[in-house]
Amino acid sequence: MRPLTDEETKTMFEKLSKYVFNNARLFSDSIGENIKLLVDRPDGGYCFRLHNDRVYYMSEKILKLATNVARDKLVSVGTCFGKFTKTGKFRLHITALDFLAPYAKVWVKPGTEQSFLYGNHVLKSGLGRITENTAQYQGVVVYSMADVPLGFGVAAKTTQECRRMDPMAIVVFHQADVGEFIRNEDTLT
Amino acid sequence: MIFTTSLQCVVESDRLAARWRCPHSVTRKSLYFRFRITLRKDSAAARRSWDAAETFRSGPPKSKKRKPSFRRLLKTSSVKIENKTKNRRFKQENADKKHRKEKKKLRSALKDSSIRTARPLEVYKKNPEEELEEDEDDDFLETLPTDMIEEEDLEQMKAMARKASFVTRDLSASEPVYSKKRKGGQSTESYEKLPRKMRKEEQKEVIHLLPIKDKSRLIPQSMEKPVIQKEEDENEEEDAEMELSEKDEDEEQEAVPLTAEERETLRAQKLTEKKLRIAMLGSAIISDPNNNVKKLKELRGMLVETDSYVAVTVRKLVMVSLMEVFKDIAPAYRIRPLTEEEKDAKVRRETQQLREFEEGLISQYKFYLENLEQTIKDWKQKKLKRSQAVALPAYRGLAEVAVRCVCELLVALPHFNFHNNIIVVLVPLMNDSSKKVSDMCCEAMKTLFKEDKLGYASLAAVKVLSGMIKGRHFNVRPEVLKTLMSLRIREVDLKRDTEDTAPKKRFLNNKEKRKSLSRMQRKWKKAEEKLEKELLEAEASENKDKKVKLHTETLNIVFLIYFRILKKAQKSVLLPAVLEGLAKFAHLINLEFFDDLLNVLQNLIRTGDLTTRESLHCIQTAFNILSGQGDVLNIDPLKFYTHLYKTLIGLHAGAPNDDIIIVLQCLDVMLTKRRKQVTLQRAMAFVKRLCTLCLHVLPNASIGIMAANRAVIHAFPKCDLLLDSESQGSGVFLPELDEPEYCNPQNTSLWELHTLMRHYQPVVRKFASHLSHGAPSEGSGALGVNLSRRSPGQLFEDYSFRDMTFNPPVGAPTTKKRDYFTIGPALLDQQLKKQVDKALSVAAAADDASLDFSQALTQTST
Repeated sequence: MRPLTDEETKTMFEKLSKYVFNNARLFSDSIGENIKLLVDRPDGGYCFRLHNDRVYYMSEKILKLATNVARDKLVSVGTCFGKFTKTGKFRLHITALDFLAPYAKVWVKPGTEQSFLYGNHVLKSGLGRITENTAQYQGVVVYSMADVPLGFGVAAKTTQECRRMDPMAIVVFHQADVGEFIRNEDTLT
Repeated sequence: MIFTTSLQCVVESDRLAARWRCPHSVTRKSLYFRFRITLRKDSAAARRSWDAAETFRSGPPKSKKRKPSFRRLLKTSSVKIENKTKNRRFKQENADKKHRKEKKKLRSALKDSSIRTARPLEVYKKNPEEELEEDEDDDFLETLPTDMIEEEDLEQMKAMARKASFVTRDLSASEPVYSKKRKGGQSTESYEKLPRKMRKEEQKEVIHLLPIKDKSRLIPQSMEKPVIQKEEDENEEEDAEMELSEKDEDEEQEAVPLTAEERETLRAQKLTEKKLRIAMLGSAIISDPNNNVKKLKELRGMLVETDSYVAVTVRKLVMVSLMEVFKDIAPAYRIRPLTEEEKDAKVRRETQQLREFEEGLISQYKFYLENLEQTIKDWKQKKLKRSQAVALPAYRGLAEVAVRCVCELLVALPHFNFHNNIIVVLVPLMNDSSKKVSDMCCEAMKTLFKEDKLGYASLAAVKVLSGMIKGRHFNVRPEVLKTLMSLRIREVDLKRDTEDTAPKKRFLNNKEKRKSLSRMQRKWKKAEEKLEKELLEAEASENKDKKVKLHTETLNIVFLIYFRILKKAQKSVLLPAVLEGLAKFAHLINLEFFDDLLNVLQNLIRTGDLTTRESLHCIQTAFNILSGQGDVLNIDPLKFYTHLYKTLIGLHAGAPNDDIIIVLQCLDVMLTKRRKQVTLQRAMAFVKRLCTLCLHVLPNASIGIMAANRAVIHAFPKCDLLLDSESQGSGVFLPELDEPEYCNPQNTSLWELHTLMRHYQPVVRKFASHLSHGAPSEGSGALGVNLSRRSPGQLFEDYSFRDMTFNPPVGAPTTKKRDYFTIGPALLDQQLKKQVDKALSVAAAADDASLDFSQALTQTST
């Protein structure tokens, strides 16, 4: 377990900033406000640690406790945010959902909820509501109409374009959903 | 009277003589020619412009079919009818010529008084041979078969024709007899233009006799008959008195430099004379307008008063009284020019009289308006003219009165002729540099918009306004734009496309019907349609569809103005007015503009150089748009919520808290009306922030905000989480974060309510305790009906102390306790107090001894 290198930090935060309300443009000047809030929380210090190519988010108290476990024996600590692939890209895991404060949101209709939770894309017919001014390929968090977060994805079209699409066109590409907690139970750590 | 007549005769002869042997005739002639040329040019252009203005509203002429044919009805012989029509045409021609002549004369009179180019005139009959009145006699000659008549007869006929042309002319055109001799148009003195009193005696009633028929020609015959002079109605004196007193204030404004006592008395005398005259004329006209068009003309003639002592005052008086007169005598319909057919058609005598009256009225009205416009223009251009009767400084006062008259007419006669021209005059003045004038015009325009029930007048005004704003490159006062806010537009036609397709469908149906229906059925159908059409015409009230159409058109222009400003002049001072206007009419905007409009508003907010009020207007506009047909859009305007959340805390606590009312409206649209689309987090965050805001704003704002909070709590019952001190969620409340979604409001509580329960304003206390009980609608914690039924905005208005009164009134100070404490060291119980006082006085007496403990200590130690 080690802190992230600068390179890794940059890659991860760039990915995160697609989902959080301070968008990527501001990222170059300062890290997004949401990300800053993740690290400098008013209720104590939190930090990111890399372990087995996975990024974990934990409080400093947990960090200290974790040092008592041998590296090869440690399976997971804190919350897993995602992992670095072999090509060096960062991939968000569904476990990070609770910590994302998205700029863009998509609400899906009750009928589409299940389809999405089985790993399908969101179609225009299932789109309940969408945040205005969503850009294309922006990260969005998918909610049910009762405001329960279901997962996240990438907007396939802008808000304006969504209006003119035919009902079977894809609006949001699926990336992760809470169904993975059951489907990929063994790999989600 | 005799004196004036003879004087005029002398002047007349002198003038005639001068015309032929004038020593400086060259200059005069050149002047005259120049004048004529400009006149011709102008009259052509003017005819076009005024005709165009007139045709703006008058529809196409009625179809020929619907006119009953005389032949069918009367079964008279064709020859007789032909004779009749010929007779009529002949008379009409004569009348026309007179009319034209009179017009020309008046024009030249105007020209004399103001050397500027002639004003455009409304010309009813276009006639190429306008300048050719001279050949009246020759015309007549041509119509006679001269070769068949003997010379003596011819002479007699000529004489008769001359007489006929004199007697058959339009009497309403009160033209002096000798006017024909003057057609040379030498520069005439302006007093000659004034109608004369003596003319009354010359009035002759004409009885038209049957014409003599001679082969194929007609010789009109008529007889003169002296008129019985009508006495001025004595009863009208009171009316005159009233009008006089009305005008006294005007007169006092004018002050002639006092050089001698006599001058002053002379002036006063003259003024009284004039006033009496104006009053007499005015009351005479009002009592019987149909027969007094001539008096109207006389009164109007006083507008060019030349006596420099009293000119300004008299002109003002005449302007105002003419305005009142026109307001009274103008008919409730629009007078349209007669078509050629109608002129030819035979009408009853009453109709003919009415037509004459209308014609006279309209021409007088037109000249009056032209005069007003001229006065205003003179003032604007600061040119000294009108034969120096009025000094330059007096122009301002004159023009202000003129503007006031025009404003009054704008509001009072929106249905009448020349209303468009009035608008054209007034609209540039709305942006006048003089605040008084521009305010007057803006107010008039507002009243027009408010009172215009038909929509024609507002449409015309808005059109002109749009042109003006564009022409000045948006460099106009915000007040000008704010007038648009008073437009009475409730509903418009948003589905124009469907309407466009509708008539087509009907047409096709007709074609189909032609195939399907039998001949008889078609006939019935046709008759039915005809009947329907007639019924539609007979409908007295303005058609609703028509109204909606007009409103749609008006609104389109208004939006054009707004969008143009949003697009091209975002930095101008007009932006607040535009946003306000958009917020007002937002629900009427076409769906297709929504995206762009929302984008523009968002950009405006993001740039951040708007004032609080402006950005609030932006938000309000956005949500008004979304609340109407924007429902179908299914978008979540997060940015606007965030912005309002951010703005709330910045609202100042000072006295002019008008922003709060906009905030209350925004909250209503954003949270209460959109409850289905708003997340609980957002609602809670807003409730929390609003309570925080309550602490520092004025009491009435607090009441309004708490009422809004109450509505939100009712819309989101789960907000009671905020009142529960036991519950705890994840995260920590971040009061300084400007994101309502992510500030974790579920982890805070509304502690502000407890502070507010100790507010000095009783209603605030009541509301705070009500909210802290979870805003129950019944039970002990419920509000009274008088508070719960009213909207936040109403409450805000009701409890405002703008006029320094408290609501509810402050009771007399009943707090004895407080008095008691403020006095100083005192005790409640009288006896105890006495004891304490005694003890204290004793202590004071024994002060040195008892308090010197150190000494005692040292004493004991030693």
